[in-house]
Amino acid sequence: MRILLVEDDHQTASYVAKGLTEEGHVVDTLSDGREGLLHATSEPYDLIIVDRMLPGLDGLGLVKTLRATGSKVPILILTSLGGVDDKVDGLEAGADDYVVKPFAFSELQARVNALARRPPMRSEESLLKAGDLEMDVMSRQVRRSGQLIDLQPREFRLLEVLLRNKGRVVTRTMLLERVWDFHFDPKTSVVETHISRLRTKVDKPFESELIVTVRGTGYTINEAR
Amino acid sequence: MKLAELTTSTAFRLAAVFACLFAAAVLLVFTILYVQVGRELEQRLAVRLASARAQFQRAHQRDGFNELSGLVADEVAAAGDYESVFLLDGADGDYVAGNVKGGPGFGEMRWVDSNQFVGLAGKVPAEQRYLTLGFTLAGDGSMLVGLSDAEIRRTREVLLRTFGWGLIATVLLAIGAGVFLGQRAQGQIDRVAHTLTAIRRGDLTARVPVDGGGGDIDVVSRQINGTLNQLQGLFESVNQSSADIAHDLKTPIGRLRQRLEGLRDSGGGAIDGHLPVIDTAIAEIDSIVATFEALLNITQIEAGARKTRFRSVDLAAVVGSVMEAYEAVAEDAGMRLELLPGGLAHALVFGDQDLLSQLLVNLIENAIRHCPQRTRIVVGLATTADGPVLSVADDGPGIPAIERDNVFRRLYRLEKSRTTPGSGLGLALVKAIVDLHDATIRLEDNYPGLRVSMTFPPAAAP
Repeated sequence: MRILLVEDDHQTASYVAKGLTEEGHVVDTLSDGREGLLHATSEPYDLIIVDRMLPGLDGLGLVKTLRATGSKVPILILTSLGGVDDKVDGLEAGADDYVVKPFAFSELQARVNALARRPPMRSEESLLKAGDLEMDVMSRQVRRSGQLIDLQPREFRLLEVLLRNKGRVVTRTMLLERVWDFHFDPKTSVVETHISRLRTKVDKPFESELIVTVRGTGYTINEAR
Repeated sequence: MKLAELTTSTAFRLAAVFACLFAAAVLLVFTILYVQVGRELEQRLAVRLASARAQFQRAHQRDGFNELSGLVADEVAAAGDYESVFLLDGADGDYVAGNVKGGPGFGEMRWVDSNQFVGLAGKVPAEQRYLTLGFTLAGDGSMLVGLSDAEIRRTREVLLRTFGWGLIATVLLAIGAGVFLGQRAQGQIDRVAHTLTAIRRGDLTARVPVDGGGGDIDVVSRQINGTLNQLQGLFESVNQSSADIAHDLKTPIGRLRQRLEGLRDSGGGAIDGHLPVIDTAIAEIDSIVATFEALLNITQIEAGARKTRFRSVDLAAVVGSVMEAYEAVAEDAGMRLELLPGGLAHALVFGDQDLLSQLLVNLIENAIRHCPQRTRIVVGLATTADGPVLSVADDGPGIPAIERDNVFRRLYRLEKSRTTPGSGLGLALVKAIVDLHDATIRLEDNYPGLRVSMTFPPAAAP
């Protein structure tokens, strides 16, 4: 995947670029907002990662201008401003997601993967499968090995988010945002508690484990096991 | 403008006072006029009576009694009405001539009611009075001449009517002027009030319109606008500097975290058996960042700019989704999280859904962290006359009454000193969110335990 990274802090830029290159991506790094916009409009990138505060043209301005040209390339904003306002500003400017600095690389990685490999029609798909598990989003039914599993609404949504990101890691923060619409960091283990409940219903009665914990990062659906 | 507001406005009160003063002045002037005109007319009657007496006495001396009685008869015929009355009695006291009989006798000048005369009843108004003058005719008899007060009464009536209309006109003009001035002043004051309300809601660009008339309200408006300019500048520089601090501090913290992650992932930590130390260090950094974020967040919320994002939010929906998330968490902690029996009332408030969720989450998490197992946490939502009331009550250890007032103060001190974050920031954030929503928060005894209740203003008044 070809990624444009616009970040003026050199250490952060090389840290991110190195990590993403190790993942197999091709990363172009720029430190100036105007240059970044120029490249973003002239080259076919699969994803653009842009820092919110940049010399030349600020990150929000870059995103707004890029969107005004009709570009639909996925954009991820890196920001030091973690206030809810600042997050909303970024999304309203036209970005698809944001990561608040400082971040764990795994968080960035998970979000990059979620953005970049998102097939256009994915969210419309109503029959989700993983191994012997089947979820019908329309009739709101979940079966494993043909056996009907009764899930609470939030457990259903949690499993749905995991299934739609099958094969990718979904971080704890991503789950909080996408399942509960919580854009803040709770002090208690909301995600862990609900994952544990979900496992009791989805994994425990069966031989193999579908929901896998990725230590220090989040969860993933692993159908290979 | 409502009438109640109008009557409390300063300009209207002044106008009302002036209306009363004008009315009193008009009344005084009229009273003087009324008395003076009455006296003047009475004086004229007296003069006319005196000249009539002189005329009749001269006729008696010149032509004798019989001629006089003829003259009186002629006068009566000439007058035709009873504006003037005459009575001529002979020396024996018998009626000789005149248009009335009886009467008050032939004394000094005096006022007499018409009913004292015989033969006037029904011919003149009952209230008509006469100024009479009696005199003797040198041994031949007595005579009485009287003049009615009809002219005085007519004049007084005209005066009264004039006064009445004048008074009504004065009062109406004064009230009209009062309403006009009151509305104009109130309009100007309302514009100032609207601007200040907008500022309070977070729109720092709002300014009081100045019409350039140079009036005193204009002067005040300019001063308010000047203050607001300063305030906006200050606010923007505070915002800018907290953004700068965030950026300047978080960048090195971020680099530190990156280095530690790099060290861990390269396996360097594992070789020396330092992996757990590196993980702990990363966790410490994350906790520093979390405290930092919480402080920035509270500052941002207290600044009030989020009010521009306020929408109509159903508290019941907020409570519902937070309950769904936390029932299981509480259960795992060995507690029970319940909704107050009676179900959820739909309670619309004007606010920020994210912050309201965070508010409730913080309160529930506080209860979960500070209460022992088997604690029952009850969330309630009720609509009262004051507005929607959201409450979180537990039957845990509670907070002693003396300390209850200190909770927020201690948080403020904690916030200022920026030393140990602990759980304090959670409640400080709760307070900031409550204030942002113009709501009130109360900590009460739940017998046993703590009950936190928040009263929101109704959504109807955004």
